[in-house]
Amino acid sequence: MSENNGRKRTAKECAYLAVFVALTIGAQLAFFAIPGIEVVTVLFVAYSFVFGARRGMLAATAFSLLRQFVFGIFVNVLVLYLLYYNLLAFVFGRLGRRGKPSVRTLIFLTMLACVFTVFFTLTDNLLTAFWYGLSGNAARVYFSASIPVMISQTVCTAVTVGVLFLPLQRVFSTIKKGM
Amino acid sequence: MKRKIVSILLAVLALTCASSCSLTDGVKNLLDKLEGKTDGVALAYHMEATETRIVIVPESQIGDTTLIDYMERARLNGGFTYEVKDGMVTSINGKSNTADFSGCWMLYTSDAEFSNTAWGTVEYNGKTLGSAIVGTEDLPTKADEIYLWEYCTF
Repeated sequence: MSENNGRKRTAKECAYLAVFVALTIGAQLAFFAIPGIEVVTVLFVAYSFVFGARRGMLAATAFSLLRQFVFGIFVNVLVLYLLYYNLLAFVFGRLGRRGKPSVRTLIFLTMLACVFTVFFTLTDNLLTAFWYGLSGNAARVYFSASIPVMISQTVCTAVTVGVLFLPLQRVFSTIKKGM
Repeated sequence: MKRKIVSILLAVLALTCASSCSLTDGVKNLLDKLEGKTDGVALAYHMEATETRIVIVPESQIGDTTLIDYMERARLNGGFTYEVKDGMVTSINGKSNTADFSGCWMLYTSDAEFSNTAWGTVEYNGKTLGSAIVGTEDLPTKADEIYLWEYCTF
């Protein structure tokens, strides 16, 4: 009986994970044409916060691998996504707690998500320059060109996490109770 | 007390002079920009244009020009129009990117330092041009390098 229940729970977990990964890929596709606008960060932040680091990192790995089939296979992008989203999931998964976070906690989580967003652009700049062997001058120009997008992405993160984190956390918590 | 007042006045005067110099430079640069010039010199270039391809070849190197400087010069010379939104060229000579980007203007260059063939290539006059690594507002231009806008459909 308990073995069957265990199998059912694993199947449910897999199903929820698959739906979440599909949701994140769909969300990224919906906004890819608009520079600096995305909701994938808040989805992973809320998901990992509720479901924990392990499930968050599983979702991050699946997302990083599967999105390559939608957006094209670029090894440097794959490395960036695997590194970044697993780290994001790990940190917010470890910070996760039950119950509604306080306003102070929400502010802290929002600021931390913004720091991660800046880290994403800086890591992308480094990986791209290294992977494609850009000259120092080209790398500097590439970095300068990325700053406006980084700023708009960081503002987007601040707004989306500030506004959507609590509703998403409620939804994911309800789903987790049913698992 | 008098000395203090004199020192403050001298500091304010020095600050005003410094601001005026940079303001004058700023105004001068702005006027140059409006006239499609850099360092007071009109940019010289060669251009070919079809409905789906625009080729710009700078004829000399002046200061720290970027491709947008040449596009602006071409616009001021007449017969060439473009629109930029959020750092992205959205329309050239009236041909616009589609909303879903199934058709859009892509930038290529022969300058190996600022192009990446892994991101895409285009052939022009027997040369392979790589996709520019940055947009038109940030892409430094060099004399005799080719800068090519191609309207691509996906």
